[in-house]
Amino acid sequence: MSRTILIDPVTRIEGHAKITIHLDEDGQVADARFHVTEFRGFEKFCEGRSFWEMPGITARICGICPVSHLMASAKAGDAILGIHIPPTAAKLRRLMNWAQIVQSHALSFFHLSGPDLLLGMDSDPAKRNLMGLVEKFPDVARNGIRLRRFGQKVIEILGGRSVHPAWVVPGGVREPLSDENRSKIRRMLPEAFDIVGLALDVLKDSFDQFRDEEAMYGNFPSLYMGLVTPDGGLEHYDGLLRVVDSDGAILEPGLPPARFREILGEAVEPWSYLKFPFYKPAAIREAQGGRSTLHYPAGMYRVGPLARLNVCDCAGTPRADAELREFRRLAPRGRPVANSFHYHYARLIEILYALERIAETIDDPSITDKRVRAHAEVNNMIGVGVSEAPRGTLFHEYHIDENGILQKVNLIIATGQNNLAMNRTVKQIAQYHIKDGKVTEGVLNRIEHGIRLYDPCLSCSTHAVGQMPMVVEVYDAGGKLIDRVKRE
Amino acid sequence: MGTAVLVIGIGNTLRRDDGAGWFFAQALATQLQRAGAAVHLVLQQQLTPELAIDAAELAPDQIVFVDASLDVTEATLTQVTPSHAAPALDHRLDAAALMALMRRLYGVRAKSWLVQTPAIDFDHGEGLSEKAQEGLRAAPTIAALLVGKR
Repeated sequence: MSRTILIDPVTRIEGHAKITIHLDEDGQVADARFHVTEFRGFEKFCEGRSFWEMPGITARICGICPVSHLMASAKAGDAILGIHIPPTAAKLRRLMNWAQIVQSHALSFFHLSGPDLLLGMDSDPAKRNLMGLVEKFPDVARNGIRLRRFGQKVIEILGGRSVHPAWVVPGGVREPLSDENRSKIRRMLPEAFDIVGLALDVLKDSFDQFRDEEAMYGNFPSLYMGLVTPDGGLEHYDGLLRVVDSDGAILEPGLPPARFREILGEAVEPWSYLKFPFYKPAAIREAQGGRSTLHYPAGMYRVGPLARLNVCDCAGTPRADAELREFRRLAPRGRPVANSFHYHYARLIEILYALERIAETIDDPSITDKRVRAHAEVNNMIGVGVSEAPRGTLFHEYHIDENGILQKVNLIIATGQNNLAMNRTVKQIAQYHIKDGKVTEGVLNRIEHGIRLYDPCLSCSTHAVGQMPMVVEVYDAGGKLIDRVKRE
Repeated sequence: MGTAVLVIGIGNTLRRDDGAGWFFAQALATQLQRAGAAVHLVLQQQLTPELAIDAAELAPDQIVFVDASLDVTEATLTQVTPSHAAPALDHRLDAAALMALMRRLYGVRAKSWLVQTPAIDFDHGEGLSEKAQEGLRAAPTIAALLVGKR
C-alpha cells in the first residue's frame, strides 16, 4: 500500500510551500516533492506598464532581497536604453548589491538556519527558532543582528531606506555618495569583519557534528551556474555566465548573460507554481511510444553561493581567497563541492568577500563622483538584466513597444533554478531518515533544513493571519488518512 | 531633558488601512514632543531584530509600538509583557518577542506599550477607510495616557 506524507507549511523560509513524501508498498520513500503553493503573477500584471517603473514594481516581489530585483530590472532598463552607465554609478550599484549579500546571508545563517545548527536538529521545535537562539546563545544572536544591520544600514545610506529603496534606476542611480556617508560605511566595517570571522570559526568547528548532514543533505552530482568576471573571478553584479559540471569541467566558459535563452529552458509541473529551469544542452530527449519526450531534470543545475564558489577560478580578494582554498578541500581535487550542506559555509565566505569589496570600493577616490546617471530614450525593444542575487542568478527580460510599454516580461529567479535540486535534496534526506514509514519531529526538521540550505525566497507576505502549524499526514493509496503528526 | 520615547510605527501605506500604524505613530510622536518628550520615530513594515540596536543606543524610557488591527474598534493602549515565545511565523517578530530580545541581548528595560488602531481594509492601494481615519483622532488621548504612565 503506497502512502503520502505531507509537511505543510515549510517554516523558516520566505514564502509558502509544502512538502509531500510518497511511500511505496513497503513504507520506503519512493519520491518527494517540494510544492510552492503561492502564486504572485508579477510577469503577467507588469504587462502594460512602462519599463521605467519596473525597478520599483519588481522590488516589491520581496522585502528581503528587493535590491536584487532593483539591480536586474535597472540593468534590463540600461539595455533598453542602449547605454553604458557612468562608472561611479556601476560602483555604487555594486556596493549596494554586496550590502544586500551581507544582510541576506546573515539572516539566513544566523536567524533561519542558526537555530538548527546550534540548538540541534532534534531540539524542542517550540524553542528551535530565533528566540531560542537569543535565550541560549545570546552572543551569536547579537552578532547576527549586528551583521545584518550592517548590510541594511549600507543599503539605507545609499538608497535612503533599507527596504525598497527607489535609488537604482535605468541609467544609473539617483544620488551620489557623500563623503560623510562614505565615512559612516567605513566606520561600520571593522565590526562586520570581526563577526564574520567568528561565524566562520563557529561553523567550521561544528563540521564534525554534522557528518550525517554533510553526507546526506543534497549530496549528488549536478551542474552549477553563476556569473564570473571576464578573467574567471567571483562576480555578483555583471560579467559572464559560466556553467560547470559535477567533475569540474567547464561547459560554458563565459556566455554573455543576454544570451541565456541559448542554454536555459523552463519547464512547469502541475503540482507547483515554481518553474523548473534547466540547462538545455544536458536535457535528454527520449523516444517513448513513437513520441519524443524531453527529460529536462537531466539538465538540473544549482545556483547561489555554493554554485558561485564552484564556478569561479578565484574570489579575487585576499581573505575570501584563503577561505575558498579551504572550502575546496571539502571536495576531491578539481571537483566542485557537491554537498548542499556547505551552502552555509559558502554564504559566510561570500559575506567576507562582500565586506572586502565594500572596503576596497569605498576607498576608491572616484566613488564620490557626482556623475551617476546617464540619460537616453528607448533604443532597443528587448532588454535583459542579469545579476547575482544572494540566492543565485537572477534574470529580468523585458519586451517593449516603441513607447517603452511592456509587452512581455520573463523573470527567472534564483530559487526557481534550484527547484530541481531542492526536490532532489528533500528526497535524499527523506530516503535516509524515513524507514518503514516512521516519521519523527527530528526527521521533519531535517527535511525542512534541506530546503533551508538553499534559503529559498518564495515571496514576502505582509499579512499572514493565524496559526501556521506544521502538519504531517500519512495517507494510504486510497487517500484515507492513517497517521497525523502536528507541530503547534 | 524630557522623557525619551521610541515610537515604532508598523505598517504598509500601500495596503490601505495597514498604513494607519505609520500615520498614528507620526501623530503620536508630534503629540508626545509637544508634551516635552524627546521622541525618536521609526517607521517599518514589520518588526525586525535590528530595532533592538536602536533601542540599546537610544536607551528610551518608553517604547511604543503602533500597529493597525482588525481586532479593535477604537484605538487601544496595552502594556507589552516581554515573551520568549516566538510568533507562529518565526521569520517575523511581535512586540512581546522583540522586547524579550531587547532585554536579553541589550538589557533594555524600558516600559513598552502597544497601540492598536482600528482597521478594516488591508487591500492593495493607498488611503485609509473612514474607520481608520476616525481611529487616528485618538492620538492626543493616547499621548496623554502615555504621559500619565511615565
